[in-house]
Amino acid sequence: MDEKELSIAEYEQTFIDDLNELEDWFLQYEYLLQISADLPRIPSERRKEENRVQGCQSGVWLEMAYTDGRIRVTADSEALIIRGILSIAVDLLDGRTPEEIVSYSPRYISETNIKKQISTDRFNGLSSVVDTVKQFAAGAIRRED
Amino acid sequence: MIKRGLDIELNVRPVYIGLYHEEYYEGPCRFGSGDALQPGFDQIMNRQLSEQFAETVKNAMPEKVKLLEPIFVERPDSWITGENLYETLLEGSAETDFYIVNSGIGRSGITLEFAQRVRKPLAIAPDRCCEVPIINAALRARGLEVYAARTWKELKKTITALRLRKVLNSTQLLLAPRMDSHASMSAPDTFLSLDQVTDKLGVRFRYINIHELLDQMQPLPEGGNYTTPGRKTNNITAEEIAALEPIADRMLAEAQEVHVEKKFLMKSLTACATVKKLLDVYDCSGFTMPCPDTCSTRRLNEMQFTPCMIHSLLNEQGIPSACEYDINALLAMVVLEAVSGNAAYMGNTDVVPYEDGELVLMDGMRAMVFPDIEDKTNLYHTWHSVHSRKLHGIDRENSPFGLQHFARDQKFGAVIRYDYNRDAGQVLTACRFSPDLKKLFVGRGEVVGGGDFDKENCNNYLIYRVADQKKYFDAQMQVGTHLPVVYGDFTEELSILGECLGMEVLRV
Amino acid sequence: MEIGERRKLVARLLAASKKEPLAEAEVINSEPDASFIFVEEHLRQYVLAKYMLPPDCKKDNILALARLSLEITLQLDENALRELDQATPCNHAKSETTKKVLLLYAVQRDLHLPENPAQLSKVKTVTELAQYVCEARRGFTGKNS
Repeated sequence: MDEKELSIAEYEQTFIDDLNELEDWFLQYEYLLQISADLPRIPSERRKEENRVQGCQSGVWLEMAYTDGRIRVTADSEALIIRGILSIAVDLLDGRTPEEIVSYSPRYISETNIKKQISTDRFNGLSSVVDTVKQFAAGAIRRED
Repeated sequence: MIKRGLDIELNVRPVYIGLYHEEYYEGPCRFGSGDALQPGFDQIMNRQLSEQFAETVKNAMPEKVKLLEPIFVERPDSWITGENLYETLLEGSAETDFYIVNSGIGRSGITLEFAQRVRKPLAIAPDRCCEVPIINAALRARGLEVYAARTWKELKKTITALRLRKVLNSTQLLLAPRMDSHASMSAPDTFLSLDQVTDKLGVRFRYINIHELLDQMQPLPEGGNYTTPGRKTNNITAEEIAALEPIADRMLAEAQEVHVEKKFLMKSLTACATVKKLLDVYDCSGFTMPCPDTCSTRRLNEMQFTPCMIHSLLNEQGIPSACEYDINALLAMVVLEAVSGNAAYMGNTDVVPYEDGELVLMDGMRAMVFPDIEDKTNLYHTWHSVHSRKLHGIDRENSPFGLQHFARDQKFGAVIRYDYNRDAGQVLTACRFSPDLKKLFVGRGEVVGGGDFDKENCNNYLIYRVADQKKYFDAQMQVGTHLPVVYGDFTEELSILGECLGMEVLRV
Repeated sequence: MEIGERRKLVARLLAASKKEPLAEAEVINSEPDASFIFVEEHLRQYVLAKYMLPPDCKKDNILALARLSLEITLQLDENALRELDQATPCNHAKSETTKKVLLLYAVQRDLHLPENPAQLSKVKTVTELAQYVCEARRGFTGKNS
């Protein structure tokens, strides 16, 4: 099955199913670490204040672009666990159309053990990552219009 | 045999009372999950915790505590408790002075019944939530002896105080009266009744007539001593006197200043050695003899010594010895030396008022030292010729000292001199009982200095500063003139001791 | 990571978490007359797997192993201690003690040993645990091999 044929919500469900099947936080953690291995690093020279996500406890940086009608996203963090969670967001949103992103409501944190394991600050910070991408996508739609 | 108070240990026994669940279940009182809820888990955990507890107790104890073999028992959640559990708890109770109990929910009743059966003082481990107030309220309401502490550090002081109580209870004192065996000519501020002291504190008294004592300070003559003709007594021997020569030589060599002849020093040392010998014979660990009462017999003039060196040297060995037949001061010194491990010093203790910009000095006080003190407020003055080289520790090296003579004309009566100026800033603790044993004076001061190092007779004094001179004075009025002191702050421990003994603590 | 690869990752993690300690227990159980050296070797792997420590970890003291395991746990989850502390709140067991006792209990259960809390609680090291296992399997009679 090609992931890109699935809607963001359907694709997101596969992550939710994986995490919930693992049940144990240590296993979920290991899972997140392993899937984040493919997430490219944002090198230090590109980690600037303007692409730093505010409200995140650990440093989180986000790079976005709008190319050929698609939103390109990459993200990075100093904390391993946050990188793991970000890798899901990036996998879900990278290469999607602005319309898909704008209409997406994230569930993979709130409907899995991740919410219980991270602090409220981190939860809010990660939520603002998705919000930032959605805002960027909304901006892309407005410019098209 | 002399059993020094400072060698007496409090026997403390840790007790761990566990609870185990016989079945798997959850409910309002079960907090674990998974294996922690399974039968068999609790029994392993209880033993682990018991071991940890014993280690905690060991690390939390003050000095002079003997830790006895810990006791471990556990009860099932069926609440059926066999008699063998109490038999185990009561093992070794005869030698136990104090229990520290670690128990918890569902076991408080066992702790209560144990306390009722054993009738020994106990405390719940300070870090046991809920259990400390539960057991304290339950036991206090039943008139049982129980102690509460917020922390292990606090409990340590309580244990020290209980040890001091044991010291008192184990103390036997040798008194050498001339006339009245209860009070001397110069210390009527002693206890109202020595029977009451025995009853309340457990202290026992043994007596030797002062004349018989003085007679034994020389080798036994043919036909026996004058006071006990024909009897074999415990006189000092010629060999024992000879053994004092090197001690005298060492003292003379080590003293910073020497103003007494060796022959007089030997007489003082002979007197001291005789007293110590008799302490051993009488199985006593403290001594006092009267001053004016003995002085007026003229025998000290004939024998050419004063009792001062007896008291100095015995205190240096951790054997409390007090002047003037002041039994009250002697008991205070028992407690002070036991708690501190330092030699105690006692003397006439007088307030030095500061009024209208001037010191108001009492008769006999020297003014020389005072001008050097900038802050003349809240001062107290203590003087007797019984100074010690072991104020900083009985097991430590001697502090610098001098040797002086007491008698101005004949220059006998070797006494030790000490320069208290070297200890300026040193904290000290003073203590004394009220004559009716209802109050305990516990004072704290700081050495300011001293004087008359180079003076003969009953001189060489200590000046110390207290927090509130008026309060100190008012408290002293309830206890008496001699306020023995030791270096160090033991006011907390002594205050707890006073409370344990049911006394009002005058802490100043 | 594609969906298929993630599914394999989940399966792998699940298998490893449950399998490894039980596998080691099964090896021991399958050799009722095993030597001390055999028991000790597999019991050590059992303990390390239970504590999610690397197989080449050389520490012998069980409390020290528990502490090491807790350090790793805390890096993953700051709230993990609270769960362990909740296991015996009225007894004020330290987290490492709870971890140790959970391990001893698991050994007793997984190796089908008779209950002997008095002896089992005296065990301090993996070596002593192996000695205990050997003695327990012999009915606590006779000396260690």
